[in-house]
Amino acid sequence: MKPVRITLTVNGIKRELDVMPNESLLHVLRDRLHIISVKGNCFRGECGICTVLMNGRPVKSCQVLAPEADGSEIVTLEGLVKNGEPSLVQKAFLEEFGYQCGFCTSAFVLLGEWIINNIPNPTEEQIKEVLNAVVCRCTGYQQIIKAIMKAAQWKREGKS
Amino acid sequence: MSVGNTRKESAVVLWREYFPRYEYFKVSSLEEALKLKAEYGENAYIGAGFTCLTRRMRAGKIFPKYIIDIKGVEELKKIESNGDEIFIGSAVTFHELKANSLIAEHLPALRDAALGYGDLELSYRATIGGNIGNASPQADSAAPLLVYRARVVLKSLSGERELPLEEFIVGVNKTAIKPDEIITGFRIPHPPAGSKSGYLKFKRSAEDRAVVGIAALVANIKEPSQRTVRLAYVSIAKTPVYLREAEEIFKKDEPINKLINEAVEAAQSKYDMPVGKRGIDLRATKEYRLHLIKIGTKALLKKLIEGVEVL
Repeated sequence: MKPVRITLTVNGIKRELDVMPNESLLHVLRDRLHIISVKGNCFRGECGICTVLMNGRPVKSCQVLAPEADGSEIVTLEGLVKNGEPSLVQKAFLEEFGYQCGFCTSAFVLLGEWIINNIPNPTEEQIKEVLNAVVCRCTGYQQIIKAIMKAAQWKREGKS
Repeated sequence: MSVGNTRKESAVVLWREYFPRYEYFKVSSLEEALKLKAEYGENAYIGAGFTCLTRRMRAGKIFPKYIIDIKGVEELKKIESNGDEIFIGSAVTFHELKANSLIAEHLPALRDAALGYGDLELSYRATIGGNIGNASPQADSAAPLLVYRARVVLKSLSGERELPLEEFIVGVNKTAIKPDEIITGFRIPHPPAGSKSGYLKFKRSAEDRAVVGIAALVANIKEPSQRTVRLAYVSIAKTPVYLREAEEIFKKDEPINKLINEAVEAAQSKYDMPVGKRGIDLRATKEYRLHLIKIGTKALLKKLIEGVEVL
């Protein structure tokens, strides 16, 4: 087993890394690049806490093999902050208290980001459908749904 | 007392955070993949989405020496119709199945299965080839493919062969594939004109596999001798079940409700769910599964025949 050289664009910064083939993207991000908003939890693809946006699509990074991610563009929670200013979804989460212990929040914010970019006028049902992918052990789903609805509304109104 | 390999005997299976050691190949053409598969045989695992492979590696069930990633092979990602058959490549993801117009028009049961499959993140990565190739008793796509009489296309360097899906899956995680072969896709004859089909899945949570999954296809329901009713089930036995008896049962000139009851009994007699090491089936008990077969079959057939939503 030899190290493989991969190129990743993580939160807009291009990185060249030597990784082992049997690492997961989760390990590359967390242990090699020290992006600690990405957390490992179940390692089975069930809880979704390790969600990142890979080429604009949410994926469970514990199930992505590191060499497979070569050439892809990764966005994590850290990448949403532009010039020290939180994104719409992050602001909405703060305002609607869409977090309790905060463990799953990074994953939900990324899903929210995907929703407001892909579904212009999301209904509660559509949001629930997408949020199926991530588990919140505090069960604070109601506030999370409200927060994403609010962010989508802000986006429609052109707020930044 | 032998020490040796205690992993298999121990009751507790350790869940590994890291994968075993393997070599990774990303291929861009089928030719390349076939060559690698011919060279490494059983030690090489084919994958595109890795949603199940990563789970099984971490559970210590499989130890691949080589992993061949076929995600980049264009010809395995197409869905096309050539008049009397529809071809679905093995690296087509469930998300593409959901969104494809050809599937929505001709194979609605397969679309139902894709809609019910896992969650958004899984459907972006999981592929139909992997779903069938794993030969899990709960494989969602297997039931619709069985009622559509799909054939599995297998390719190796020495040529191509086709197997009916029923003969392809032979046991829990066991298929009739040869070590040097790759599933390239599925050939599905167009369903009979005017037929209706659907898939009904009972599950515990969004990302869960089926507790019981039922696919059905009905056509010419008014005319007993012309009637076509096909039923297939997943998660009731060690392999997905195609209920061959149903074809005969529904040819009889009797009230349709009586025939449905007969079909339910035939399906219930197929129950043969494997139990885990500790003698328990984690998803459901036998009684509950038999109950779901009953209400599920009735509800699905009522919906297809009369257009009434029962469940």
